[in-house]
Amino acid sequence: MKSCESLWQTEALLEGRLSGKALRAAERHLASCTRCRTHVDQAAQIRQGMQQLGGGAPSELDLARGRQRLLAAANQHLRRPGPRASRRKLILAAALFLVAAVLWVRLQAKLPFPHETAEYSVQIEASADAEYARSAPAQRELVNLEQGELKVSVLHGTGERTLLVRTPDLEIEDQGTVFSVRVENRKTLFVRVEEGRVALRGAGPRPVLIEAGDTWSRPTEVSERASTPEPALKERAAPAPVAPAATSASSATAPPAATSVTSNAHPSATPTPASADSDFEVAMQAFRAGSWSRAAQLFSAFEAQHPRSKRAEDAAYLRVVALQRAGQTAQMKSAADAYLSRYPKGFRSKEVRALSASK
Amino acid sequence: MSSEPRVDAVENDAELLRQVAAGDLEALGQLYDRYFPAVLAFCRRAAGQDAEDLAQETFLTAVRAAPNYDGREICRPWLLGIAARCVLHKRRSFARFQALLQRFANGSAAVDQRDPDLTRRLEQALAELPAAKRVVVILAEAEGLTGEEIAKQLGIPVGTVWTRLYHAKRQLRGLLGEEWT
Repeated sequence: MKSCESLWQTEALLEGRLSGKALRAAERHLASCTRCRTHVDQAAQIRQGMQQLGGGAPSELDLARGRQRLLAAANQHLRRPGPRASRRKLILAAALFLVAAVLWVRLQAKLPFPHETAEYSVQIEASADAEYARSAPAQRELVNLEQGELKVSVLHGTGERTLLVRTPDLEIEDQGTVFSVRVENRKTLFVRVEEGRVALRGAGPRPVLIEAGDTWSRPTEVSERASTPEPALKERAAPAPVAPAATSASSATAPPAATSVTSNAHPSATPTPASADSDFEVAMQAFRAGSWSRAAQLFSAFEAQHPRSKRAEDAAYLRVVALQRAGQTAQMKSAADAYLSRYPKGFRSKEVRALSASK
Repeated sequence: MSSEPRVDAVENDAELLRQVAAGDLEALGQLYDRYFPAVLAFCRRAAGQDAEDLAQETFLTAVRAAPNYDGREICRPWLLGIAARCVLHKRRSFARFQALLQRFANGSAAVDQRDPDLTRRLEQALAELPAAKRVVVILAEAEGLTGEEIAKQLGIPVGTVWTRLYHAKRQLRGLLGEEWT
């Protein structure tokens, strides 16, 4: 039987969605429409059939069993901590873990805690005649050295702060080091780096980087500090061009009293470099002056005389470099082989291999 | 713990559920006595052979949900809503399994439209309906809940209830036979 066009109205009536005028209109229509009345009767049958699908009521025994089962299960549920309690415990555990993780990271990185200041991260040992002053403008530790010698140790993990040592004529910026600097008569005599490196500004058109084990020396003043062996070294360096180089250490801007390399004119109780240090410095002077052959000889002599010095490896490396720059390829490769056999995993082994492989 | 109902039974469902929320197992027992048959009947209509387990699950869920009961005097629609959500959550293979068995047995359509027993045909037709529509039509037609009550208990819009109800009835009539359409 084809459904009535107003069936939707009848459905709405059955579902109780009509009221007022719409309800009265639907009732009037139902009274006059056979198809819709049939539809309503069928709906009632369906409803009755569904209700019968529910089956009969459970027996008393089944009810009692079900009741006991339910109460036992509910009792178990009530004994267990609720989800809120578990959640609280989880949050507490997560918070504790986070705190522990933060503490561990800080300890590993040795980060300074709020009470630490830059003073604790920079240690300065001053000579008896030192005249210096410290200040701490924002993000920087500043040391003004007017006279004397300082040994500066900068501890790692200081965050953003940097250290700057100013002498009357130079500026030395720490890049994470232990270094020494000496000033006399308002002139910086040397800067010696033991660990890390520093950048030296004012000694030339561009900053000079001084690595661990290296020493920057002002040529005139260094010649005044030379120890006893130095004249011997200078005598070994016989060729005429190098002699002026040795004395050129005292040339240019140096005052007249700079010709002697052995004397240390300074009367005060300042620490004097060991012979190894001074020999190394002499060799470095020749190297910086571009006297490659002489520098190579001096470094070779240094290795022979101070085989156990902590700078022996540097000397071996610099000898290779000096020979390479002097164009003495065969000697350079021989020196490179000697370096690599003695220091197969040396600090400069990679560079030495590269030099040896070149040409 | 006694299985006997308390002599001083709580009249008001809201008070009963407050006691259940407080952990009173005697109150839970009263709730069970009062509504288990109705919940079981609904579960039988909506889920078939898993009805008893679903009815038990409904009351256990009610224990957890009791603190959030809205305080109405009669909690039957609320319990039926929980039961309906349990049925939907289960989504057991009742409909598919029954239909599959039917097809295997008859080798034809899931509903035997020649069967004079309307109840049996209706059972088969309900099994063919998707669970969401089945639950709505049973709550409306067999349990007598209004569209608004169904919407509230299932947490769906009223319009969705009417739409599902319309399609469920139409599909049921189609499954029952041509004379029902």
